[in-house]
Amino acid sequence: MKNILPILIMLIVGLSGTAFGQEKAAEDTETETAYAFPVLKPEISLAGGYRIVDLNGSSRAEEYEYLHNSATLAGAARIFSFPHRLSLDLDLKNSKDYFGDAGYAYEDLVVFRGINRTLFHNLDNITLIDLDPSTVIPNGPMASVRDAGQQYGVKDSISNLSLSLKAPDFPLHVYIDSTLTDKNGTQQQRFLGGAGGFATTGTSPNNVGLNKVSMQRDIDWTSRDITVGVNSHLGPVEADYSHGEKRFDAGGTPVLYENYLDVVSRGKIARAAGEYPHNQISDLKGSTDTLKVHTSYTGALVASATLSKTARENRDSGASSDYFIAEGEVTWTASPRLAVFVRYRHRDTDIDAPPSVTITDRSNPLNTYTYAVQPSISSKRDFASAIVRYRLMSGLTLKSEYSFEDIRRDVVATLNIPDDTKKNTLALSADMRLVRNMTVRAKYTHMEIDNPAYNTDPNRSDEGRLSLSWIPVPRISSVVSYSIAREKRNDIIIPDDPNAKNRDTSRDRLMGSVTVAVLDNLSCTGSYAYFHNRIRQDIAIGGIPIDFDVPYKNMAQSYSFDISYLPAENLSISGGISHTIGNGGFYPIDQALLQPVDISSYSRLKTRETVVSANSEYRFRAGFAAGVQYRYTDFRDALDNPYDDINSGRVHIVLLTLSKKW
Amino acid sequence: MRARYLLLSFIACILAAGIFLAGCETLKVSKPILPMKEYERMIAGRLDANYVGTRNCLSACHVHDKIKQDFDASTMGVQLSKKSGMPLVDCESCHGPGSLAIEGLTPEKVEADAKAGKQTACDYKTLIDIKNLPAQAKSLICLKCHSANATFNLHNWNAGTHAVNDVACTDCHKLHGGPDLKVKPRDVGAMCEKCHQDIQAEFALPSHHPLPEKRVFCTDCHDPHGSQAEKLLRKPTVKATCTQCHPEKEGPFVFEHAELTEDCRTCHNPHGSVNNNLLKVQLPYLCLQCHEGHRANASTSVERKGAIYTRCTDCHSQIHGTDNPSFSGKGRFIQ
Repeated sequence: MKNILPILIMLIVGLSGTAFGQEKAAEDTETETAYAFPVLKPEISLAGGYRIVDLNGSSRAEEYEYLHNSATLAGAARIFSFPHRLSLDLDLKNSKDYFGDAGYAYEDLVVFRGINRTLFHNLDNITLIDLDPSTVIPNGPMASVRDAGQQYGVKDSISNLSLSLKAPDFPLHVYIDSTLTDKNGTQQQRFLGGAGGFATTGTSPNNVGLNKVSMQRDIDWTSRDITVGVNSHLGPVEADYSHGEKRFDAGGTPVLYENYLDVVSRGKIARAAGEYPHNQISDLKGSTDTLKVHTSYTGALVASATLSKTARENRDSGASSDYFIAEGEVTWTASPRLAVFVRYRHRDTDIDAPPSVTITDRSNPLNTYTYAVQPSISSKRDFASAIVRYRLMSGLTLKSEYSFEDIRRDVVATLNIPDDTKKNTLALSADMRLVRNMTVRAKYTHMEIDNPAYNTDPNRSDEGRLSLSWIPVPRISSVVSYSIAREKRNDIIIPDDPNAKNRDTSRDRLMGSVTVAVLDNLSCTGSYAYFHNRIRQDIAIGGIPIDFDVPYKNMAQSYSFDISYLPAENLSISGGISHTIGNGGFYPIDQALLQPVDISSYSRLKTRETVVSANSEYRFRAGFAAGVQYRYTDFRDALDNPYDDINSGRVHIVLLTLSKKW
Repeated sequence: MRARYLLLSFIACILAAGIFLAGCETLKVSKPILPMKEYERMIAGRLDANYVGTRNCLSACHVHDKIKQDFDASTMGVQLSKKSGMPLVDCESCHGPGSLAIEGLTPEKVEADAKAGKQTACDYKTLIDIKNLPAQAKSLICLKCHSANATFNLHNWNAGTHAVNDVACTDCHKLHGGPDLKVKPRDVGAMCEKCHQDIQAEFALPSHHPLPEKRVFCTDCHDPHGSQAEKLLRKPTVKATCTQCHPEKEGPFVFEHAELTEDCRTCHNPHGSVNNNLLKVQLPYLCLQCHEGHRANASTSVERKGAIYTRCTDCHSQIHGTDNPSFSGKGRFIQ
């Protein structure tokens, strides 16, 4: 693949000069009256403001807001003075939450775009179950909370930068695309201390070293993904070649160390007590080479093909993975009534882990242990699909799609994962315009899987979807959508539990929305959404027979109402309220799991979230404006389960702004 | 080896040079293997009309002054001038020849109408009726240029989900909405939700990516112009898409969680969930779908049950893969 790059560049750049010369000479003979670009007045706006925050309880109530008072700044600029075109957008809420979008073009031969979004992600401090050794049975499980009351959050920054250079008078581009991410802050690290498992730590078999720990972890992670590419028109086809490099560097505390206890097995110390690493975040590097070719015309028969090779390497452990992907598409538009779309995709995944791994006691390097590593799963996948689209009559389009996928795995027998899985899928859909302002879309999908690899994959699934959009009168528009899915698995695989067999799942979704333009300057939208997921499966718990047909359910309902009102030309008012209820849990049947305490009680959840927002802006003369934005969020753990991962909180945010447009 | 490489390069150059020089000829004359005559007829415009040029068209009346200004300031506005080195584009490239539309519109009449307080409209019905064209014909107006100018964001357009489902370029790109022909990143969500309201509803669930907050955009993960991957994913695989922002979970690791991390959707719903961390199913049932749970029976203490059956990831904290063996020497994702 690396040999292709110089060939392509030589070819495209070297020969394009000759071609341009020919083109240019022909064009120069034509006469052109020079187009005079108007002098456009730059559009510039600037806004300043202050953001007031009141938080009560968990910051997870507003997961993606930095919940501290701050001054704000926003601005925009559009400057066009041929051959330059410049656009800038900036929205700075505080040092941890901002958005910037900058674009510059010179005659559109040089085009630059840079987008940065930085947000503060409030993270959980989950309360471990109270296992104070003084109150629980001797040698029983323990919990060590080392981060009580700690607030966690990470500043996430994502930057997308692109620079494209175009040759004059010919479609030849050289470009650079990059994505840079940076995460900086603290998060909770929960892990298993003690002996690092159910291992005994002494001669008594009851002396189990199970110790759940929570502590703070500092993170400072950066990722850089940079792609350089070249593309051009090559007659009947166009070609693009790109090479990308990716690096991930884990700063902060990439490796944590814990003083583990002795691990005793069959009366002998299998691993001596010591300070061993855990929860390591590894540095990674990798590269991607991609070649794309497609037909360069618009016609009834067009095609595209992509070849890509991706390599990834774990710089700490030496594990590596290689992906080769070949993909092709052919579209044949036989007539406006009939079109056929064919796709083929091959993916070759090769994952190599080192044959052995070593772990060393940092406090005593003599305690070094080497273990054999089970090979990772490599696979080859082939996917092919064909879609036929047929317009039966005006306002009625039928589509049918058939796809086949074959997955072949290199997998060791002990994993109980089949080495060959085949999927067949048939989908039928219809788009109908029943009356002038009413359209209906219906789709049915049936899938059969031979030898599904994981229990979450079914042997058979059926999915139906119906959506209707209707505008009964010009001022009212409505949408209703319902989807239903049923999956059946004949024979689930749980190692060492051959009696586990059944699994059925169902999913139901209902969504409705009505927008009414009450007046020319007043519109309201009401929406409702309902989600219901159910699973019924045999589950295996050590120490009891299989618990058959254990149901799991989760459900959510969301109501929202939004209003937009323009009472005067220089005054806008908008607002909304939404309320979302969510609950979920599983329901074991075997009494052994219900006594003395129901094992599902620790994970059952019920949440209620209410969000109220109100915004207004008044525009004065000379481009001045004043605005106010208010947002209230109330997120509640309705079950008040102290050990689940839901924490209640309430937040009020008020933003006052003054702006000026030039 | 070096001689072989040079020979291969030379042969490739010779072969490609032929294709390339032929390509220069086809750059201005589209020569599809099979033309789409029906659609091309729809976008040819009136055959009895003549091309009059943008300046004649737009200066005939002042109805389009704002549109002209926006267009001048846009990417395509640059293409009004041959000096730009870009392919020439003007109003008639899309709307068809305009002579009939401005017939009888004299500067005097426009001025008189303006004094009378009314705008002078052209006979727009003689132009191409773009609004009522089928989606394929609408897109063809754009594709007749954009399929031959090395715009590789359209590489997978023709067989992509949007094209198959009759979505046209103009459904998303408002060419006369302002100088930005691309949708602004923070407006992408609202635009996609017009059709994908069921997905919008998922983002209202308690655990969601910050799309309603406008911190991430639909186009971070999906490429609306088509993709080599399923669900219009921007990257070739689900894992490659997710690890753009979550690189710490990419691996490879010494101990992989079977193949599950190749498709993050096995455990996570990327749009939204009632469960924390976008989990499709609440822990511990999520894991119990495939794994036997730790020993628990009627004689098991409340403390032990509580320690085990809250969240599996409290202990199996490296569930996405790890380089450290657990105490048993196996990959239990504990260390």
